[in-house]
Amino acid sequence: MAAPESGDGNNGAARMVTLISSDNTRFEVEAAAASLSQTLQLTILDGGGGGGDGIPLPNVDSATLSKVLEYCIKHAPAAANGGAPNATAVDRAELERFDNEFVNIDQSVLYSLIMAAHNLEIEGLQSLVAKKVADMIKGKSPMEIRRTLGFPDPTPEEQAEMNAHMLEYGWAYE
Amino acid sequence: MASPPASRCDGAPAEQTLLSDEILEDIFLLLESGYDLARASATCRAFRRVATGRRFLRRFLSLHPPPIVGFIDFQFGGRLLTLTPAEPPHRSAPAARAVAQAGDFTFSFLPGASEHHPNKRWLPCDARDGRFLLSRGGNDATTFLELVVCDPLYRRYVQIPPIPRDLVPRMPSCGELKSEPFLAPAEEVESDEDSQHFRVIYNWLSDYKLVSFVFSAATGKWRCATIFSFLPARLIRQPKKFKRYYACNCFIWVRMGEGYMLMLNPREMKFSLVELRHRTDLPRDQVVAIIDHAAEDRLGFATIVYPGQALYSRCRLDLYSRTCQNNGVTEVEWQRDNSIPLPEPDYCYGIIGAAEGYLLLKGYLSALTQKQCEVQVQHLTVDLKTLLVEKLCTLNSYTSSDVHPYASFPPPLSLPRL
Repeated sequence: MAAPESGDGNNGAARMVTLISSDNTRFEVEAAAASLSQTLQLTILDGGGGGGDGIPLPNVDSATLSKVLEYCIKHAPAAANGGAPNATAVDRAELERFDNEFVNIDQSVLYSLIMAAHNLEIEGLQSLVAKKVADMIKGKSPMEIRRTLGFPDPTPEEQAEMNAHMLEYGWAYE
Repeated sequence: MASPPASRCDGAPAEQTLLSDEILEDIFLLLESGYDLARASATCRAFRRVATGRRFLRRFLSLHPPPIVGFIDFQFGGRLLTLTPAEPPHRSAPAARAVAQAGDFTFSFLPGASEHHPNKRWLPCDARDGRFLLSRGGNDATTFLELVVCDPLYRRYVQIPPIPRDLVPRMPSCGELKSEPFLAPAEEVESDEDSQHFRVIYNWLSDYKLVSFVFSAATGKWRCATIFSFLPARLIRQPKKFKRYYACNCFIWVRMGEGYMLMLNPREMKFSLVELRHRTDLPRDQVVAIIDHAAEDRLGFATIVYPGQALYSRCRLDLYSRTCQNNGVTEVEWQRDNSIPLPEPDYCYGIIGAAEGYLLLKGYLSALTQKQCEVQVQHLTVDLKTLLVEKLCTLNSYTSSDVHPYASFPPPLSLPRL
């Protein structure tokens, strides 16, 4: 049971919710942070996820969820300020630094994050990871893009198709 | 553990792929240019399917306008009517080659294109958003021109039906009538399937009066939109010699030496005459091109400033703007926003086109220094947002002052306009 304002000297303690990853790890986080997820927001507003219950997330494994929550915890204060219009330049710079560092990750982690951000509908994280992939594509040839994104080497059939398209898009290579 | 993104590229159905089409669209929209999109779309089938999807391309192109790949000189005279493509080292040169190859900018796909009789030849009237309006016939001042709207990149055309006789008011016999057909912006809601909803405006004018008809591709019908009289004041003396521009969502006609400009709001189909106040307003003694100012809601004009008596120095391009919300009552002043020195010293420059957010300039050595036999005419684009001046190409002959820039990515990263 939630016990708000119990007057135990810990007042101002934020409401916590529990999220359960696909591999059954429990994560306890502030409701404000978890609410960055549009998907979770309604459940949390309804009072879900508190106490011993917890919200199961069958599509997100614990490694990914801990990464997602790292993002949410960092961004929750700014989001609470309504997108932080009154945030100081220092705060914004710090968030930007955090974001840049945050997506400096292995591409398999990046893919899991993309899926999780999408499933959980965390808007800021969705654009952050999409931008990261876009940056990985920029200025590269199709073969380089495949390697950067960790695609397997093309089959001969795929290679022939790629060659045809590269001929068609010759204007984009010069 | 995340599964490696192996199944994404084998053309498997979307639900089996790691990145859904929706996620891929979000990623591709964040690319910087069509060049990146083109390379990405050659990577695998799923990428290609998403990158060339119609709905996606419409979104992408609205965020990333296609580059100017060349221009078409409407007063082509004895030369061939065709696209003059950007040349290396211009960054659009490769795209320009691909566009020129994919399309037919001699318009030979139009019905009766092989006719050479002057009355049966298709002549370009206007270009907008990748569509061209061509006309033929009409040597007789009492008949209307035959019109066709086409997309030369996809070789498609739509013949415009003639203006029904019963729509035509009686024009006083006052000398020759001038036909001025042109393309208006497509009607407001540009949702999924209505890319063909262009409009044609047909101005029929004498020195005293103007009748304007509108054809809407949505209805397939003409209507007589408005009649505007220059009488009794005759504030503009030679309306038939005015040059048309489009800026601030209005058509604007100006002519050097005239004290008024003619404006048309194409949504309401309302004409008005706006006085150009002496000294504080549009210069009456210079050739100007009306432009959209980079900032919203400001009307701009561009003019070339010649270096006066000092021989051997540079021309400048001056850009002015003023607020758009002028009802003709309050005094408005133009302010000079930029004065850009043009690249070559000793060159004469002229504005030859203004459209799609660009100015087209031509520059050549003034007659004093240029040998007649080796004419070199440089063509430049000025991006009105970034003010970047770029050399587009150099020709061995002079272009007219009725030149229209053409902007597009090559197919399949472009959308048919008809």
